Amino acid sequence: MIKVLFADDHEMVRIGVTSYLSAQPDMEVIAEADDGGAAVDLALSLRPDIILMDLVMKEMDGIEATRNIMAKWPEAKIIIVTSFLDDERYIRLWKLGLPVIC
Amino acid sequence: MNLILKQIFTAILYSILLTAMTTGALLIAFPIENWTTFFDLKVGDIPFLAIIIFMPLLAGFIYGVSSAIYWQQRVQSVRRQLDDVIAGQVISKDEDTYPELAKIEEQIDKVQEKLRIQTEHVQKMATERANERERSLQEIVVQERNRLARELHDSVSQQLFAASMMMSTINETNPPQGTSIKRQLQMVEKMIHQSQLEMRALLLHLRPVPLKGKSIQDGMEELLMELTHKVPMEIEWKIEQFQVEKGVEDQLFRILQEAVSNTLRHAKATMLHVMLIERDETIILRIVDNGIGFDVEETRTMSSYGLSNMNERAIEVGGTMKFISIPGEGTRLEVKVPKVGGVNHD
Repeated sequence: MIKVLFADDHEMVRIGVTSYLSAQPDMEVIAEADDGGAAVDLALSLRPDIILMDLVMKEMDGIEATRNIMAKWPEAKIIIVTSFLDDERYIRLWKLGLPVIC
Repeated sequence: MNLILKQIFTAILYSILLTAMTTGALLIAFPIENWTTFFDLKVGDIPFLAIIIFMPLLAGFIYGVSSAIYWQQRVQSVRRQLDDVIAGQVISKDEDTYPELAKIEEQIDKVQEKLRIQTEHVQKMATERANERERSLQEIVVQERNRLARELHDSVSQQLFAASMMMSTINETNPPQGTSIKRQLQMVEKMIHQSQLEMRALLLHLRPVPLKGKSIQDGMEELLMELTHKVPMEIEWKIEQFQVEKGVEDQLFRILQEAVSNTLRHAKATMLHVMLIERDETIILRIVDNGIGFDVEETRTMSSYGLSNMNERAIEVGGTMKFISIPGEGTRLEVKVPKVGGVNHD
């Protein structure tokens, strides 16, 4: 089973994506976070196999959260999920060498 | 009191006074013994007394009238000139100038010049204010559109995405068995996808992505590449590499975005062809789709905001825009912009 942590500040998106991922026979969403800060805490305590991270969140955004996680857990596997294609942040992510799914 | 009457009255008064004084002095110098002879004195056939009374009246009257006319002409001339100043017209000078008025006319000219400068100043300020208003209005429009786009993206787009994920979940884990429910679910899925498509088009329209220093060719390719991934439409493009003036680049890019947004929202097209070429010193941007088309004349009379907007953009860079649309077959938009100097060809 692939353990997934999903961080997104839209509740409906969390419901949709979690239900889809949970429907996969080999995946399990072990936790959801609605903010970057919560994502960092959950990632470090639960150590999921993969983290799906929304780029734009209110308190702490995906980039900041990713940086915080990677500082303490460099092997973490993080995928940034976003729908902002023209965003400057997107380019900064590329520079961090992170995979991005649009 | 009327100027003429006043002049006549004053002149007569002076005249009588002068006569009375002269007569008085004469009477004192040569006193009259017998007053009856005085009343009988005659010059010719006219009694002396009548002459003493009527001569000054006549002299005063004549002098009064002539002096009144003399001054009235001058006053009227000044009045006419002031009227011209008030009306803001060029002062019409009389053929015969009055030397007495030279100084006044000079001053009137100065007043008029001062007024002219002030008017100029006021007009300049008014123009500036109008321009500023327009600028700030446009700024507000852009800000408001950005805000709307952001909110739509944050809410509706996300919810549609969530809904599509739920649909995928249902299709993968629990595919419906009955044909009727299957068909209904397929319709729901189609609706969600159509809504997502329209949201994307709307966002593109509301918040056009600026070129941000990219060349128009790069910007176009990026946009069309992105659309290829996001919308179920066959998109082809032919983009030639050549230098385009910065201002022209921006406007052409916006026209493309607007046109693509229109196609996505209204055309129900399955194919989109975009071309940017240079022929005979003319830049040609052509956008063709195979959608349902529309009545160009009808849309024009409805003065569609989007179309006139695109047209304005084309005109702004000295270009022309042409729409050809055949209902049921598609729409073809062509923008031609003449390429004029200032651009390096190497």
